Amino acid sequence: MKILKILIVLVFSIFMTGCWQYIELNDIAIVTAVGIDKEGKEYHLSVQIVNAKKQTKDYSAAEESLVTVYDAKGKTLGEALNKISLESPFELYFGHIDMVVIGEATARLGIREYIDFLIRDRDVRKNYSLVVAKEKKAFDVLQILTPLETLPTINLINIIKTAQETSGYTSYRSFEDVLNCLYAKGKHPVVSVVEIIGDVEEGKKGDNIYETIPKTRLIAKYVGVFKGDKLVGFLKDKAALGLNILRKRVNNSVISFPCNDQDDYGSVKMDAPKVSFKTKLKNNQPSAEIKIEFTATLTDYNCAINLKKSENIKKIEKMIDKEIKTIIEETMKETQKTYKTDVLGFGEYLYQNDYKNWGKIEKKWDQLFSNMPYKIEVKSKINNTGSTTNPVRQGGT
Amino acid sequence: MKKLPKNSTEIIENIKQKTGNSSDIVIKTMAAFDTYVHIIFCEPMCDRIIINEFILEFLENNKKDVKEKDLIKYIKSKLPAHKITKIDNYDDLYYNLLSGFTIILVDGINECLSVESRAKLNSGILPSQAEMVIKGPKDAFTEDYQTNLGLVMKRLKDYQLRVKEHVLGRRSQTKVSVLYIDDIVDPILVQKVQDKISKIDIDAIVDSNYVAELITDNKKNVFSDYLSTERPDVVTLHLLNGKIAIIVENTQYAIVIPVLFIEFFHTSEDYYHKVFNVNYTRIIRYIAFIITLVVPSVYIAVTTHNHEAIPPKLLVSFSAQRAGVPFPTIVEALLMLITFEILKESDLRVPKSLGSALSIVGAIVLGQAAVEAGIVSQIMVIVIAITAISGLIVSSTDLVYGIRWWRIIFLLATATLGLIGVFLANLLMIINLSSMKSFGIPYLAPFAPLILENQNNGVFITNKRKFKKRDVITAKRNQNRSAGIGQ
Repeated sequence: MKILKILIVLVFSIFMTGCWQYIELNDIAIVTAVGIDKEGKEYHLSVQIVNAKKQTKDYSAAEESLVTVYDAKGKTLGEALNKISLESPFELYFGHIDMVVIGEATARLGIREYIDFLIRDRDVRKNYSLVVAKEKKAFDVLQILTPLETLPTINLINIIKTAQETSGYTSYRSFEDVLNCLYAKGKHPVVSVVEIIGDVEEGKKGDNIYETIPKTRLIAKYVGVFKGDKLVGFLKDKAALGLNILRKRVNNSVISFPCNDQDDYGSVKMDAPKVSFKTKLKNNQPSAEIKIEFTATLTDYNCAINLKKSENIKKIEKMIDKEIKTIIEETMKETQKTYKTDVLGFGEYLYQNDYKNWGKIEKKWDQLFSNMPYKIEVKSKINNTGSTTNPVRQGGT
Repeated sequence: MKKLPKNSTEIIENIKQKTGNSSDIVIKTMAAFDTYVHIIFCEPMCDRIIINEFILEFLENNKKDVKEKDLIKYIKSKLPAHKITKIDNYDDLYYNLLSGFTIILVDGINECLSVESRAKLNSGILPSQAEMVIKGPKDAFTEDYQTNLGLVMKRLKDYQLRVKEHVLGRRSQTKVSVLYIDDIVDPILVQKVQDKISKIDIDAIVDSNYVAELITDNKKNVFSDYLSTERPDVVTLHLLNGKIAIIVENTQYAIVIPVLFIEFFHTSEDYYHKVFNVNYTRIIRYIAFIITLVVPSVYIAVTTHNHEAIPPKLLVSFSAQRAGVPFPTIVEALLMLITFEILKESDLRVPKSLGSALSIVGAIVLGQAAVEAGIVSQIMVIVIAITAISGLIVSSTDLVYGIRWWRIIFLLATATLGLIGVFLANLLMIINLSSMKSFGIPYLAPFAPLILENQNNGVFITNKRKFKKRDVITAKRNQNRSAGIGQ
């Protein structure tokens, strides 16, 4: 009887967990990136698979590519996937996707229809990054081989992550972030953008990674702005940096500022800022207040102002404040006037803090946002001038 | 008990007949005190010098002296030997004779004398072989019963230390003594142990583990509920904590009962080093225990079922190493585990001079060549190696051997169920352990049930426990180690 009880417990625990997917590691093809394009009415699905054998010592010199790309077309993504399995010797494993690339043209048509496919598979985790291929097809991006990191996908992800923190000119967005924005009220998603520099055909060849300057490279430079599920445009340089500052995604970003009219510049490294913004409704007309506070380290200084006097440091701080202000204004201009899409979450603030009134304006929020007045308050503090005080040009110390 | 007759020839005939006229029984007859005196001893067990220089010489020098009427009483008082006993029955006679005592038989008297003449049949006190320490006493128990008792007693010169002797084994007549400190130990426990020991009915006690197995309850369990140790200092420490030690004749290992699961991770050295350093070592021991139990199964789980549980880069690396291995991972793991067990077992049995040959074959041929031949993957060798190394960190072979079975159970559970299997097997093991009792004390104490006062030597040891407090689970009285704090 006792044994029977134990058996019942064991049998139930075996059958009720649904964990029967026994598959040996060398029988799966690890997919690192998925590309989605739309051609007419058909979907064009491409997958990038790691050539695991290549990672071992014995095979590292072998004349095989690091990754293999399979692609197929179909009326649904599932159908395309089935067609891929006709080619692949192993079962495709989607559990470790690092990146899903969507071609620009496809993204402009809307991404909602792909998202369903991406959410439904329970093997797939949701923290891969969603990337838009600027001006190219996703299929092309997957085929480019890149140096340094052995896997092109990890290489690209690392580029995006590093760029977001240091330059701030692009923004790393996971699929989860995009989903959250897509379902949130009063907020539109942004995605990372990858651009192919050089000839696509050259980039597909193994020779590409043997050059000191690869002929074809992948760079991450823009931030893709969505309106709903449709890509509407890209934020570039300062506009992208502003977005990252407002979304608190920067850390160690370098900001250069002019210190007089004669093209003399200094620059500071910005620590993670404290950002708060408030949106207010008055007579159903919104207005916003943005507050940014941060500390910075002087990294580069070629100005005439003597840094030994503390009031001069204050002056420099004022200059930085002004610069940040222009950066933010740039971002606001792009999002408000050019694309008319609230990617910063001013609407979300209203939704969360003034729910009653939000209902009245929800429908026309994008319109209201594009004309929304705002105030910016920037407070920077230089707490470190580096290992020297005055510029070297003036004799240092 | 059959009494001895007056006629000595009758006794000698009896001895000759019972022993089958065995050549090791020496019977020497000499004329002395106007009568015949027989000296009987079992040659391999006796010290010849004692017989020659004391017994024979005494009889030779005094054989003319006949003033005394009671010859037995006379010899007993005059013979220069430290232990002489009077015997009046056959049972005692045989026991003494076969233990190495010399029997002095005087014709016409229905009593005889047994004189201590046993030879020391051991190699002396040697350093501990199985339970090494860096700091602390090095001596280990020997095969000699009296020495073993002495090794404990010289550490505890306390009149409260009780030694209750039993003679067990119908044929082996082995001395078994139960040691405890009377004013610390739980009297009920002592009674229980004494009862169980006196109920033992067996022909021979060959080793102390016989006694332990016979008196403990968990015969169907792989984990041991008694501690067998060869270190007298371990026995002393346990006695001080109110435990009971059993010392068995002709055995190098003493038994300590009751024992808790956590105590297999403690060593006597824990008391000799600073507590902070000991706790560091203990953490390492627990980690090693977990590693040796679950690492092969977790590896199998993540490579065959739960690919999502490892970082992508590691997955690629695992996948690369698995490429070309013909067997399923579970077969690979079992193959390597069994190979290691064979290696370990043969290393144990092989004469020391052949040991190096074995290790060369084991390490190079089996490890390196198997990987190069593509039979097993490198990562599997690493996994089994870390499992094997970690499995040897606890000195108790009882625990090490117990873990082996559970490791296999974990492996099989994982091979069918993935990570769920690891958790199921783990659950099963915890259920099994918590159902065990060592002489009425829950095996998983002081954690299940939780005994807060005893956490000072649970996972970690504290200075308070080291110097001030006894183990409250077993020490029922005098729980303070220093007299300074109130009783």
